[in-house]
Amino acid sequence: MKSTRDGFGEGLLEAGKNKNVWVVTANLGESTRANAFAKKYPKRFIDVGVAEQNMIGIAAGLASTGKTVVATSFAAFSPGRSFDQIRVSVALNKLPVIIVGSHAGLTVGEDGATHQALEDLALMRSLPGMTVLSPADFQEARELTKLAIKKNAPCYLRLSRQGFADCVKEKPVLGKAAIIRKGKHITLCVTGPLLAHVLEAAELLAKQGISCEVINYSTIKPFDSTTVTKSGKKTGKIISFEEHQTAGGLGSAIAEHLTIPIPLKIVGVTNRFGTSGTASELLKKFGLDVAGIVQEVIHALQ
Amino acid sequence: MKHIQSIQDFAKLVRILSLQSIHLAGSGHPGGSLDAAEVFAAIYYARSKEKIEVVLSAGHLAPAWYASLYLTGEVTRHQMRSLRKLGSKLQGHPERGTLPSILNTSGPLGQGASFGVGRALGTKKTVLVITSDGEHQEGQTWEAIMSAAQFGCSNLVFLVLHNNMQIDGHVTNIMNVESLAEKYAAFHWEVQSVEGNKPLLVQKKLQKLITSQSKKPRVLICHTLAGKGVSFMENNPLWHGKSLSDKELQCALGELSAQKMKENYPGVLL
Repeated sequence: MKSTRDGFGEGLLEAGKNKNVWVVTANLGESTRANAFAKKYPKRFIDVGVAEQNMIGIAAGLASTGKTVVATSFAAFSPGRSFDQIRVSVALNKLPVIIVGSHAGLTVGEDGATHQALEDLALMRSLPGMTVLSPADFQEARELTKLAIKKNAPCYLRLSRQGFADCVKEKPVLGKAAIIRKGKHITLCVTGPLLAHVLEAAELLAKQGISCEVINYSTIKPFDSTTVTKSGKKTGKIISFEEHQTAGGLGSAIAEHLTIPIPLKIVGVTNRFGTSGTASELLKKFGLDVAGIVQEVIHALQ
Repeated sequence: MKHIQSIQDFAKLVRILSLQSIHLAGSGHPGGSLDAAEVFAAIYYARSKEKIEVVLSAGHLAPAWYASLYLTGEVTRHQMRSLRKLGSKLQGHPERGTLPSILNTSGPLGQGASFGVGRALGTKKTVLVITSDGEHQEGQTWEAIMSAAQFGCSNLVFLVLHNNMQIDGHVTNIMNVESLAEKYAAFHWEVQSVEGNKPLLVQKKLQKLITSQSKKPRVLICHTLAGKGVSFMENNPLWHGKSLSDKELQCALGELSAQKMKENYPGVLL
């Protein structure tokens, strides 16, 4: 199974036909899948070494000369340790830098808490003018990469290390959430590759007579408030799922943007750090595996 | 563009205008702007803007920069009187998008260094980055210095305002960054030092660095006196970041021969 970072690598290679596109990385060209671009367009690829703050600054400086710059690292390091540079040199400057944070969430697995970025969406969502993208699968990541580069504005793209099943058939529209499965009893919102698990849970629940509407939020900002509000109004209940702290991620965005009051449960990681383990062990531990998702839904409907 | 008779007068005007605008604002960083006056004069006096780009990394030196851009015609007198006020283009720290010459938003230290490297990679013009000795306490500054040499940014010149002063005291006492010249050389830069309050010398050395055939990035370490020109502000950390009272301003303007400058350049002072 291919991952969202693989999709990014492919989208970047396609977007690289545009000579205005440059890539900067902080010693993670291969891991973030920027290497295919580097091989094909070496003159437009810069590796700054292990220096995420400098990476963002250089990306912003380059972008100020009229280029579109993609800056790749692990989410734990960028935005993790480059937040001030992103805030000032990219966001306040309104420069077209696409910040790519790979290996986000719990599913980076064995590397443990230091490398499991669970705060990146909150950080990036808080910045004025920042577009925040979190694709669910390979093809969605590929398409969103191209759209983000085309948009030519400050953007954060969250990626995962782990491969998940492809489950989005339609091409993503930037700024729009997509109803992946129609239902009537409860609305399940999800972002990132966790979508595959939520869909699997919805399938199991359907056998028990519970009809879930599943919405994929691959754009977290600007937030599509219409889709979730409309669905929640129909079903009467919403649960959100994310590989992120419950503070400041997708669930928070829903709570901020619902245009009418609808009961909402936010499921993610709450006030804890991750730990070492396999991706599936960790999702289970934090209640984000298929069984955990089923439990949340049954509990919410009781 | 205002007609200024000499580079020394340009520096004097930068000094006076910085203090006047900070006084009108009621807050700001007078110390650094005072001692940076000659360096700004060396950059802007009688130089074609088309060939150079300025990235101010030490954003708190904004008053001296705004004063220079006022003297070269980019900022109006009305704007000079609006420093730090609501709706003003002259933000407390410079912001990209407010004036054509401001390429980067700065204030959080170290960011202009990296921005300058990126800028130098994307343009054929000479990129001048104005930084300070205290700013070399930021790790990002060294990341940028390392990378500029690696990428062979020969169109990049750092001007280090070296006044041994930061908010909490003298740089050598708080967190010594010496020897900057040796450190830059060890990082594979071409290094020059100069008495930073002698504008003709600064201009000469700067020109030499800009036109050098070296493949390395270049740095000019400008040794300046903190608060230069106003006796009670000189070499005093108190004046890094506070405005002046009416009485203090009058006293300072007296020392800076503001009356004579007002007569020589009618309508220029605030």
